[in-house]
Amino acid sequence: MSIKAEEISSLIKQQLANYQEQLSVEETGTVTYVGDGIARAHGLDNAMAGELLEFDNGVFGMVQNLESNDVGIVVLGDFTGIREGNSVKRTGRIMEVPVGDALLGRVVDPLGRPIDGNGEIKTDKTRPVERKAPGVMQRKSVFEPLQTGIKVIDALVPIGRGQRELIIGDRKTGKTSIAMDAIINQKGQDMICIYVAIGQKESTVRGQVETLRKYGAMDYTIVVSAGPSDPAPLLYIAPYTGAAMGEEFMFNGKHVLIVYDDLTKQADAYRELSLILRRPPGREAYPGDIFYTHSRLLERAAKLSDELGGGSMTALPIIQTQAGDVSAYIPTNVISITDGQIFLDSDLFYAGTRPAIDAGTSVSRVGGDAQIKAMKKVSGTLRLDLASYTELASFAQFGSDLDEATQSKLNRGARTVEVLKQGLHQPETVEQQVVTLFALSKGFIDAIEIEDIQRYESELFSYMTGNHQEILDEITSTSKLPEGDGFYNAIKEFSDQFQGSKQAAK
Amino acid sequence: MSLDKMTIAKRYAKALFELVVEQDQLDATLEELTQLREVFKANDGLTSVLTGAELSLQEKQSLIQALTHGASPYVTNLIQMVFDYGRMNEMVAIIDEFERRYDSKIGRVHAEVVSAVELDDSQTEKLTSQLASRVHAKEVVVSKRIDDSIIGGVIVHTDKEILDGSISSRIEKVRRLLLK
Repeated sequence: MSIKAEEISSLIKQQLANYQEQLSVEETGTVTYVGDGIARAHGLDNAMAGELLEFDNGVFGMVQNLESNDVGIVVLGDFTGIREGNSVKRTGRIMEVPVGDALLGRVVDPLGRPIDGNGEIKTDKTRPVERKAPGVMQRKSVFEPLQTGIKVIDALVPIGRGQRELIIGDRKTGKTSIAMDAIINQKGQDMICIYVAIGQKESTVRGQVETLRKYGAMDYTIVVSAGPSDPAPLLYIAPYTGAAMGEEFMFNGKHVLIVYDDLTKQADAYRELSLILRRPPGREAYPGDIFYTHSRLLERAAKLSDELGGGSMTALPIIQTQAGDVSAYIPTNVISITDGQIFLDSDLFYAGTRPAIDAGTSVSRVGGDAQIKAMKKVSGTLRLDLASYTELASFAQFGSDLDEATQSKLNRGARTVEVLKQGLHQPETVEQQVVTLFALSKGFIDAIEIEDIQRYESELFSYMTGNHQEILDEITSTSKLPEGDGFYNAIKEFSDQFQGSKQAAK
Repeated sequence: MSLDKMTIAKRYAKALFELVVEQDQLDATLEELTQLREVFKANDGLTSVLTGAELSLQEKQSLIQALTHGASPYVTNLIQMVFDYGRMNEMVAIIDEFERRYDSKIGRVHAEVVSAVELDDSQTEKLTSQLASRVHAKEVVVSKRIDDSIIGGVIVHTDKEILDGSISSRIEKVRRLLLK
């Protein structure tokens, strides 16, 4: 076949005849005020709340306030290039961020742009940043456990997939470390993790990313970071961006763990921009809708019904308190929104109990549903033991003559506290936790000196993997405690030949 | 909290507008107000002199007399009232707002046309009629401006919209596309 010049040129002529230049029609307004991350513009009569606007210099903004004469806009980027009198145009879109697998292993800003220097993120899917949370019929109750790898959490305040568990405590009590360990422990669990750093120092975020990379956790993690020097609007939208990225996976049937570190700073950022937008201040100068800001965010964490693929998004919001004051405005708000809280105590932290989780005030409203059966068995009385220990311990300080029962209770309590200590970035598998807690509940650890407990634990587990792998396998596969005396005898065998450091020194 | 300029201008303009419509003095009033605006635009310092503290009240009053000289009672009253309430800063905004109300009543649209070369009469005529049908207006008042930096085509600025058919913006679009 030959090319027929005539045919082709007639085709081209036809196309050229129909070719019309597109005239760009844009609805515009004029900037009348700009400063501190927000702008006001006159005009833009048809702008919608939440709509994305574009300024002359290419910076985007989001419509927040619609007033009789002007609109209040939060500037999502550098506002220093915007001047009074500049024009601002509507885009007709609401704010969206890129989502999808290509984001895994990346560090992005709240607009989804890479900030890790590893080049462009190639993804063609986007999701709106603000989205209504799944409704009643789209959900299912939480039943699968999310293993954080931290004994005290998995035993006392178990977290289920799709739950919202608050991590709350003063500064420097290890809030972020708990979240990090939870992310690290998701390796090989077919989980996607999203770490949203809001107002965290860039150097800290860098450190966290390095930690995650070192433990191979970056392969399944997205880090969204809005630094302290970013304008307040970016800090405000960062958690919504993270949630949008997580929803993409959740609605594809995957399990997602999202950490908001921390919502106190997001509330502060929102307070800042609300005040500049001249919204009336309420308690602690937060705007009236600060509760809704957090509740609509956390409500997006869900366990989806089977028809929707059964995906889940577990949220671990972090809140920083001042001097242990949980009755401040933001902490009480978020406590009431979430399905429980992990309370970190600075006194415990400095006394060397790390993670410094206060077993008395930490709760999980999902509770036992999110534990495997074996764990439920061994951790049943743990909370009571701990509670009675702390009560007795404060009494026992005054008197020396104690009866045997009290003595043994104190003994057990001190060992329980010791057993629940755990090093940084040393998550334990659920079998390992079950073995240790089983040994504790059966009283094997009572005979061990406190300083030997950590060693006993690790040696016991390596003994079990070496000699009784079948027991561990049984726990993993049936998720129940093995029947019969095999398990008990195995631990007894080990305990009998365990030598404490004092004995060894003799 | 003090009211902003727009809110004040809208209130005064609305009151005056409704009054003169009732009295059937609309066109004449607009004509006078346009003249008044010219005066304010031609004399930069006028507003600040009238609102500032350099002149005594009497001296200001005599300036007002000069402004109201020969004006209709409605406009005279407006000027006097705006002065009495210390809103002289908002005078131009009030007139602008009045004109906007007038425009929307008779279906008139103001448009600024920016082109690279001077448009001849037939081109202007064509553009005006096209524009009128596009924005559903009965009348389009065109003010022309030459700006050779747009290379070719025209940009039309109306009150709320920009219709951009310039070569420069298309080149910019191509540039963004290529850089993406």
